[in-house]
Amino acid sequence: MTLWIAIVVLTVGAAALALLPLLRPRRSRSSLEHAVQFYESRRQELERQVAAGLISESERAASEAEQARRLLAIGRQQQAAEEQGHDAAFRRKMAALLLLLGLPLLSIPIYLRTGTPNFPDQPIASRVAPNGDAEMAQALQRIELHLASNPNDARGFEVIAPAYMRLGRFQDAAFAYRRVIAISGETAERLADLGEALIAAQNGIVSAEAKEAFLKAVALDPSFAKARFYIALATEQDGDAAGAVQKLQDLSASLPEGPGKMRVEAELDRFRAEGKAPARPQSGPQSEAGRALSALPADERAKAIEGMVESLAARLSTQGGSFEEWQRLIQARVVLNQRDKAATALAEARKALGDAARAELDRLATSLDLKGTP
Amino acid sequence: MIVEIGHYALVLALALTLFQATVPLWGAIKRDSALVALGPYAAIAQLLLIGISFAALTHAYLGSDFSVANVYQNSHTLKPLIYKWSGVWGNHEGSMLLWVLILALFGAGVAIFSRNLPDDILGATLAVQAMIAAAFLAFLLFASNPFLRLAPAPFEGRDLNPILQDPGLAIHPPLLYLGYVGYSIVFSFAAGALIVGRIDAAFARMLRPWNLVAWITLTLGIAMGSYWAYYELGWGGYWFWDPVENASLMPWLTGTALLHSAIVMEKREALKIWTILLAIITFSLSLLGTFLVRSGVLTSVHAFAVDPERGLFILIILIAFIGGSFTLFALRARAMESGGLFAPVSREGALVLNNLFLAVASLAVLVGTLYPLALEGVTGQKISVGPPFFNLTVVPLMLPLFVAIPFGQRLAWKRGDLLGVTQRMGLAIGLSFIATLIAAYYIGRGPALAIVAIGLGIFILLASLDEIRERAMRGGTSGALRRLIGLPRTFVATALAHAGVGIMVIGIAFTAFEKEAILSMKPGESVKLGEYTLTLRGIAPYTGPNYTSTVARFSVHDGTREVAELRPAKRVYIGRQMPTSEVGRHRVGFSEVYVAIGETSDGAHVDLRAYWKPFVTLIWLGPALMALAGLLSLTDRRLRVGAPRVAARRPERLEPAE
Repeated sequence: MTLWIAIVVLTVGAAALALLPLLRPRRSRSSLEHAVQFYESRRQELERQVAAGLISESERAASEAEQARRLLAIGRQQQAAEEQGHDAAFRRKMAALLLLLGLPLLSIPIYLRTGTPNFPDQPIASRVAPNGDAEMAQALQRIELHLASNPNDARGFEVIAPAYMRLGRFQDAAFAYRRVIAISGETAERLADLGEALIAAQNGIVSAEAKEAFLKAVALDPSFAKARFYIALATEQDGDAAGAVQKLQDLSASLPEGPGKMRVEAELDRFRAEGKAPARPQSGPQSEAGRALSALPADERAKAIEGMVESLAARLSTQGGSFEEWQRLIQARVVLNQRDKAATALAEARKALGDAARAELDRLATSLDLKGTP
Repeated sequence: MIVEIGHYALVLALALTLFQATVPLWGAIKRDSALVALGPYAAIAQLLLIGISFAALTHAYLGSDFSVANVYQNSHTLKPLIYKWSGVWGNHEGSMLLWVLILALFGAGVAIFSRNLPDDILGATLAVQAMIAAAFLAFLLFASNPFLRLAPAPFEGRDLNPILQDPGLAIHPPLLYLGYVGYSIVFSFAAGALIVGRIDAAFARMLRPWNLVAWITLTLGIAMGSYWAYYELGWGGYWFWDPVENASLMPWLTGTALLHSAIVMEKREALKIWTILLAIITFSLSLLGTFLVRSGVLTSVHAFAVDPERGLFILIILIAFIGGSFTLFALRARAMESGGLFAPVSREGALVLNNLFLAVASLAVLVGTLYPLALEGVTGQKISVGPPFFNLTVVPLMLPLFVAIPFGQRLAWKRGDLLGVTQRMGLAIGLSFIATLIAAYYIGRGPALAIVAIGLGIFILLASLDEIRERAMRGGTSGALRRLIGLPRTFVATALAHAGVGIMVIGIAFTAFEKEAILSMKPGESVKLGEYTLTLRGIAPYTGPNYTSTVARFSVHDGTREVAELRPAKRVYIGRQMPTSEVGRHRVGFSEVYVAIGETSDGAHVDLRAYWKPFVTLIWLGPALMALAGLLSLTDRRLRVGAPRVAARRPERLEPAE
């Protein structure tokens, strides 16, 4: 509300200031009037120069003759041009109308398009929030200050790196992991963390540096799942989808049941949905649907997938659901390139799941590069 | 909410500029003073609105409001206060906001000092200025909006480029922008005069203060940028022919030409077409500079906005304004009668010579800057045009111009007497010859051309200043003091500005005699630099508030005793892992010992570049004196009339041609 009061005050103020001269007219200065005054003062200046002994009397006379000729010429020019219009009052009204209507009619729609009204300021000092985020920011600052003066404190960098990851500061996280490695040496775990940060910083692209980190990690610990997982993704990005699937399947087979295996399987599902991998050989309700889907022609398949996503969305928004279900919906939206709907789903999930899933949703939003409404 | 108010104020300013771009122009054409009178108030309202907007963004920076995307990308809570503040314009969006703020500042300036302007010119000028503002406000709002918000707001910003964390940044861009953008008002005046068809001495008089303000600030901005590159980038040079530097030099060259040709127009009603053309060209080059820097077509330290869409936007603005003004110029060119005639050897003739050389030099810089781009665009071949090109084109163009300065300054209006002028300079020529010989004796061996250049600098310096003495002494010693005081300030300013050129030439010529040492040193080792001996005392790590650095400690010995201790350093900023150099300098008079260190790979050796730079500070003191002279000239609000020299024999032939 205050913002709209300010907007009205600004608009009316600017219009009033600009229209002020209609109430108090400026003293008009025609060109001829100006020219006469100009040449008069030039004459005075010449006289002053003569008096100061800078030019001679004959120079002054020659100059003055020139001035007179100029002035005559301007006078003739002006006389020809000088035609006062009779519709001055009409023009004044038009100008006032143009300003009083044009200003708000132009600026308010533009502002509504480019601006974000009702979005409060959030200076850092005011963000002592109840949710502990601000405390974390302060703690982070303390650690950063400490590290600035103790750049060889590996423990500090180890603490701060995951915090950077959570805040989406992937570059900084990568830097911190590099410091840890530089100070305390390479381990598979640290190298994989570094690689993960580098990937996040590149919006999911496995850079050469990241790949190298994972390869080193696997060399140190051949069974290290995280590194193998990302190497598989790098293989896909290098254009070798079959190789990637092979690596993921090997990895999946070597893992016990648990969140790690589920993540790998989810990735394999994505490959299947994109038609890059053969459908799952075992039977089961999920894969039956998957097989049916992959048998359909491409456009019908897309329609079918969209239908499934829509029904999931409808179910979740009416009946609610678990975090995993919301996550599946949001990820599906992103995969289908419906980022707006993904953001909406994210906002709905925040509302539905409340504080319990807040951190997880934040992480999800960051990893998918989604902005949620606050 | 303050951020959103700032955003709205910017939108409102755009709407208001559209009003200001039309109504006063309508008034100027219809000769309706009531409509024209709306212009100045609209200009002031525009300044207030953009000011509010700028203040809102500054507020967001000072409060580290990371819900503003621009603040998040360019600031950090740990950053020292002054850099939070200067960070406002240390990035693309913020610097464009500063651009339009300065644009509005000049528009409001004309509005406030408009009492003496005739209605038609005032209305047209403010309208053109508003058109420029509208174009850039639209660019700001739709292609580089600094008020976009982030949700959820991050808790820490991404820091500012550490190279830009320097007090130089706080002053250099605003000054350079004042100059760049200052020429917008000069352009608006020229376009306004073309629109109403009034191009005469009175117009040149109206133009003068704005022309001077733009020139002073651009001069200072370039000099400061050069000085900043000298001590912050650690390369030890003062000018690199970097495309971004060239972009500021081109409008300076034509702006300087404009400054001179406008004198002819004001005093003698001649060179009108040329003056108007220069005003248009100078601002066009400023726009071109903005385009080059902002579009990212050039790869250089300065091009921080690498975004082709923005480049296209500015290119369209550029084409619209340059094309529009040249069309207007073509339509009006025939209406512009040429003014007074003059002999080739005369003050006017000398100023034409000055204009020719400056314009051609500017063209050479333009070709050198754009040719690689054009070639890459056409053939895809990448080449770089470096200092050798510019040294071979611009320097030979400047030398005759420099020689001509003291002569031109003394020539009479309309017809001059070159021999008489040379005779009057006898004392100055003799003195500078002796001074050069003394200098050559002290320098000893060296390139002869450089010694000639030093002599040239001394000659410009002495001969320019000597004219003050000469004028005061004209007609005997009695009354000399009275005449000295009575000298117009513009006259003194001319002499001082030209002396500044001389000082700068001396400084540049002396770079031929600098001593350089590039080597790797261990603690305890020494290196000789001219008369000075530099000894590395030790290398030590040091930790600052947001960086770690390696500091080398050197002692400077002048043959008899230790005169200084230097501590050049290599810094690595933790936030961005970007290394920067802190150079160590020891000043002796106008000269400097300069040390910059590089890598210290094994902790025992340090790579370094050390210089003895004789009279190096003159390079910046010269332009500073030029700017000061401009300021002095600005205080002289008297009218300037050039009284023609009467020919001795046939006065009836004196008719100025109309």
